[in-house]
Amino acid sequence: MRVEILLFASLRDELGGTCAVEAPESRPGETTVGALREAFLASCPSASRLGKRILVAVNEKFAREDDLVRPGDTVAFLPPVAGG
Amino acid sequence: MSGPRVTRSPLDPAVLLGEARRDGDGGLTLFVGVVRDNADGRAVEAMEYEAYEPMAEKEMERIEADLSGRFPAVRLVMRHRIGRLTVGEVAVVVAASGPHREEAFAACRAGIEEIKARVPVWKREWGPDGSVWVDPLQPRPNPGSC
Repeated sequence: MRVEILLFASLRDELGGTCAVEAPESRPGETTVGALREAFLASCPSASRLGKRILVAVNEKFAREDDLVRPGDTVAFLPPVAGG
Repeated sequence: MSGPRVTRSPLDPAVLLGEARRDGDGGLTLFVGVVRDNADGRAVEAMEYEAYEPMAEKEMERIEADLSGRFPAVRLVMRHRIGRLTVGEVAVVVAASGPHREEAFAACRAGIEEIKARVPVWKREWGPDGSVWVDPLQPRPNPGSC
């Protein structure tokens, strides 16, 4: 399943504002945040310095590794936040 | 509450403190985060703040909702500025109004800590040698020291 991922800050500088990743489906038409992260790190090795520290948002909310991603969801990979 | 919580416009702490204040409250606390001229021994000229704007706005709202559960007697007003800010400019404001100082201090402190931990905002530090994204977990030593 092909998922378009929004990228921000250092990840966007390195890889562009979006990145399409082919993630294995856990069931037809759905994958997990964890599977998407693995596929992303495999296809973009330069992001591996952040690895598990990358935060994943699905539909503008932080997601856990076992949360599902379905077609039409808005997915973003975020470097560790540094506001304030 | 007036205006977006994540904004490119300058923040005025006094105005936001006024927004938080209520006639029935006796304690008002304010945290103001400003751009400083140094970081880990390096000179800093500006900070460029970037946000995942729609999510940052929602996350600020979620923090307010969470904290209104923890501090039901307190009114919080929180703002984060984004864009390029120079030394001394206000990046973040948390104003808290409560019946007494204890709740107002506690809620204000919790507000800024939650913002720093949860809101998708990043900053690129600009200095004489160029720029670098700030990684909160990896403060880099001054290149001139060891």
